[in-house]
Amino acid sequence: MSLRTLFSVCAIVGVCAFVLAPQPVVSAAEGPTLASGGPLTFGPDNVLFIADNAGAKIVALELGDLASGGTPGTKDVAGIDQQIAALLGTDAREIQINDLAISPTSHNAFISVSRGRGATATPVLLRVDGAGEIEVVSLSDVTYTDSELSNAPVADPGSRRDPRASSITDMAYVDGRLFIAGLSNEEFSSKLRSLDYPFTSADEGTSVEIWHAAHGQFETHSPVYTFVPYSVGGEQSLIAGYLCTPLVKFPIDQLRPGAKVMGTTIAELGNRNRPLDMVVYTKDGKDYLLMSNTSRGVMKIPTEHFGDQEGLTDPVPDGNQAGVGYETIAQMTGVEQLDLLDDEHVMVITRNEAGQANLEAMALP
Amino acid sequence: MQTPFFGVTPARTCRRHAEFRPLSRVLGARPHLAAVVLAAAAACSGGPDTAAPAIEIRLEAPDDDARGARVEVVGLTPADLAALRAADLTDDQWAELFRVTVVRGNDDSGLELPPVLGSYALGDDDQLWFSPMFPFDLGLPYSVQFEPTRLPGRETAELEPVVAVVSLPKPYVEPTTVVARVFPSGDSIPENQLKIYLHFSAPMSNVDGLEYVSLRDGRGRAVEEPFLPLGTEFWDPDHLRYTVFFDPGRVKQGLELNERLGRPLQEGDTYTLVVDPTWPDAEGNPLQAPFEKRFSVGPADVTPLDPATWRLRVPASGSTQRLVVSFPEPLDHALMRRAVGVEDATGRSVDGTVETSNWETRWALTPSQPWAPGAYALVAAPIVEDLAGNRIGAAFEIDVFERVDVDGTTAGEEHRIPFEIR
Repeated sequence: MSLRTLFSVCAIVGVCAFVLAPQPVVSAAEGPTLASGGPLTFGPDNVLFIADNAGAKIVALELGDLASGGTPGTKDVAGIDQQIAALLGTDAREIQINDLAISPTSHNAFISVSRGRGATATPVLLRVDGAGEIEVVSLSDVTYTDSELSNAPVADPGSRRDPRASSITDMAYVDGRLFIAGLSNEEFSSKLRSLDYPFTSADEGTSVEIWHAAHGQFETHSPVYTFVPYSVGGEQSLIAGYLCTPLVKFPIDQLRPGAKVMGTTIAELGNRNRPLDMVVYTKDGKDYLLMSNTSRGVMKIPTEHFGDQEGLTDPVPDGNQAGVGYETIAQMTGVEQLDLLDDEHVMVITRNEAGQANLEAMALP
Repeated sequence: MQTPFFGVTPARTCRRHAEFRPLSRVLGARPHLAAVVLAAAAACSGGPDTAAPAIEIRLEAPDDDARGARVEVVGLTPADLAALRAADLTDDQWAELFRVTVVRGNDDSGLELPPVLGSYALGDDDQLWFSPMFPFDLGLPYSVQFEPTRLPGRETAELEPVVAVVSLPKPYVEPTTVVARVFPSGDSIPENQLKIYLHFSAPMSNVDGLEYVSLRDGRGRAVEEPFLPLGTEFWDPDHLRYTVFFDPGRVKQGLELNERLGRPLQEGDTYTLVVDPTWPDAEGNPLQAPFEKRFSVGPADVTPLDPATWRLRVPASGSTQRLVVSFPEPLDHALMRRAVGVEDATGRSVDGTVETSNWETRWALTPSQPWAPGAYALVAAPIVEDLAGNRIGAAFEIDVFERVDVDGTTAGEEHRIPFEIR
């Protein structure tokens, strides 16, 4: 393989640890204060990670018994946005659903929302159990640790306040490390960070800037929006959905400071689209990636060729896909949030044409 | 936790003493806090042996603070209050006795909605109150239903429910928020312009701004999907600045969207950025006026920044004159504000006030203390960009094969331009 070909098929992950290096602050107190509640993901031992974008930190909530409501599982809730709004004493238009995560132990659904859209917007974490009971999870007695995510350096000491905002779009926990994808309102480049968990004060974290070369000779500079850990041929990897919808794999163990990581663009999933969420599941002995999108529905992507798919090198000529194939699941429409409920179902939040959000379990396709 | 307890049953409602009553008395003289309550009082027939309570529902805001507003039920008899104190009701029982729900607008979904979460308390006098978990929204009506037959000991009494609709009025506020500034501030941008910053005069609401921003070409036609659709994430922490990214799929060469649709901006044409005045600010009010900004578009800029072309005008020692740095092209406003600074010989940042001017081709630092003689350095972090996202030594679009020759390192490190104050 020529050097040119090698770099045509690969993404280059360069390390720039000086930008956005997390500055962990360990708290063993009870009752975190959240400025906002964004993406959620579960870690070990009923730990729920919640991204606080406004507060520029990741909080690890040790839920303990709060991981479970009265009934295991999650019951469908029609009009989940209206139900939540009613409980919180507001109009459904004032409720913004930010993420959905299913507890791996209770299989209850956890939903992070913002109550209000103005200056007094308040983050709220809710739990839905197998009886459809919706409860606000009070954080006042929850033991937690957190890790602050520092902003990029400010060279101008006179600036009143750093206007830079980092938006975490996805998180995943793998074997003692929390991976975090995020965007910035100033720098259009891909950031993927990892933190060791439990958080330690000595952990400076890893910050990597991802470049991929899926389009001819040009790097796209496009950010990762969502990703999922997955073992490809025995190699623990991250499968990342980029903003402009290429699907890229790269090995986790190379995401170290000072390392140069090659990733491979394994699929081009079409334009005018943004990936929203993805999960991996097994059905009939085969693994599949299920990926929701803003405008291309929910895709079911067999993973069997993730290991041997040759990296894409050229722009996709006026077509909508290339690389590993996928199937669009016709019955899954309007999916805004998605997480695995159990071995046979995925829990989704869909929005219908009337604008109503519904929490519902669907059979894995 | 509360079991949903749904709906009001008008047929059972005792309304004969209901009245509208402004609560300025309760809420104080400040007119903006004057709550309006459809207060309902009931003296319906009680049980044969018990005096019927004369119940009244009202909205109170202690200390004139609307955020602390609570719903009160007054008129309970001493026997009822004593029974309540002794009963230790569960959350579900409280909600069945005294329920506050959001009044829904036009809604044909048929959904049954649960009551508002909150806490119940008994006062020293004859009142019982409900405090919501989150403050009542201004202007949103809430239905209150008190069910006397759920009072301990009155289960068999012939008492009808008392209902009221309460709300905190939302004062009308004249729209005052405007688009204060736009960056780039110049009227000429490259064909591969990467982003635009909209600065507002007051905090805005957390909604998807792209619904309110559009681009028209020189003939007044809407440009198709020019911006990156990312939802609500691109606000600054104060919600005063919104970042609009041009869709990189249309900016970068080689991407299918670019090949098919072309760049959203075409060299030689003029464009108008249009901001819809219905964009709500943090108070929910529209903008005071529509906003438009016109740009002419020049050729694409694919040249990395070269600090050798930056010119410094160095002040004299002992003065508080400005250090002025001139660039041959406009830089990204936010990044030049954040990532350019001055350090003294010891590596300490020089404190002062930074201004940008001349369409972001000029950066100036006025020190807070007079310049001391000595060696200094202008420091530029590697994130500094021009309008097209080109950085020091690295264009936004990079030929990866050239990058391989330089060992694949990411672009640039902190760049320093030394200078001397004499």
